[in-house]
Amino acid sequence: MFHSDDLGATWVEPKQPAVKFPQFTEASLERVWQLHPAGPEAPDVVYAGTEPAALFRSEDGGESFELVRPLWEHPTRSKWVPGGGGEGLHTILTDPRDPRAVTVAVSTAGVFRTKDGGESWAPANRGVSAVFLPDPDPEFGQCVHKVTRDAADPDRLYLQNHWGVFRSDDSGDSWTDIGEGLPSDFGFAAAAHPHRGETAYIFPITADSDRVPADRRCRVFRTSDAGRTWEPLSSGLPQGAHYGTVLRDALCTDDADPAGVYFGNRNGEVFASADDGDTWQQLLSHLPDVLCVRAALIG
Amino acid sequence: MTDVLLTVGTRKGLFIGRRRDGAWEFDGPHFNAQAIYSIAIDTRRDTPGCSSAATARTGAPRCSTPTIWVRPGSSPSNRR
Repeated sequence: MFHSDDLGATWVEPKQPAVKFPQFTEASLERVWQLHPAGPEAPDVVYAGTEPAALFRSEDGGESFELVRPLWEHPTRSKWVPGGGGEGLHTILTDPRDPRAVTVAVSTAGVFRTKDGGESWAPANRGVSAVFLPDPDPEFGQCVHKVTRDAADPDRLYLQNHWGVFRSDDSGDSWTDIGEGLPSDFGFAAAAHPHRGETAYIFPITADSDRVPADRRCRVFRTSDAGRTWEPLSSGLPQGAHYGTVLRDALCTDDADPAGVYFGNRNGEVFASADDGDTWQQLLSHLPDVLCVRAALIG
Repeated sequence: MTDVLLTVGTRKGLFIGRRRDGAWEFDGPHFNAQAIYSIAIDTRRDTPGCSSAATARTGAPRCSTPTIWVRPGSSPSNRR
């Protein structure tokens, strides 16, 4: 794990590996899938989601991390299985109202929540489909690809599933299908608008067996009414047939108003919008596959 | 136009862009040939050079030097 305090000019690595599985787990770190600084109420707390699927918590600004053992030892864990990219804990959402409330998502185990700072965890997948399982509505085992939190209502979450786009209005107690109107409800990425409630972005993919943009068109879809309707955004994006798949962490927003929206794809292209997604410009091309993008205001 | 830091993690390194006065400039790759699956930009700290003062329109924190966290990996998968 490296960090930079000078916009990437220099990098510092802790003397000891920051994220390391304790010996009793008999596991070793394959990959850090997610890094998530907690909210401003906990300025020294940073979370890391890993493969094998586990949550680590740092209380010293990311210098060292400790395994969140109750999730690692969750009674359902023996039935978690790797998704196509591995068994990764890829989503970490902290709650701006309560630093003890954390939501995570795992491929393939689904959404899990704690309300007590990580001491206990419960699945939160009611209503999220698992079309690849004999029981299409299990308590856990869903292949959730990404979850994001609404800017105005902390109880409202948006979820891009392995088939299906869902919304929860109760912090994950239950989920409602909001995929109607999309060209495909398969996809990987999801990002909420930083300020505007009921507004989120996804990038539909044709199918799990055909991982290219839906209709072979490079389009971000935006909802401005919490998933009741969806609007394709393509002004400034390539207009011909397009094959650039957007992965789960390769779509993000910044905190500006209007919001900056960014995505990269497996063609090595990066696009940006400075007006909530209404219009776009291509920033980069011919990069290696883009795996993740993150943006922030600087001044 | 607001100045922005954009980090792009790829299968073969990290690219960093900055938009100042509306113009983008990128450098990289950092961590050449290493897969960058996870990045975090930490704008929470109210340290010298990093201000949490509200911007005029958004109230969003702005840092001149936010902390960027990355975790390079060496075993990229073909799927994700």
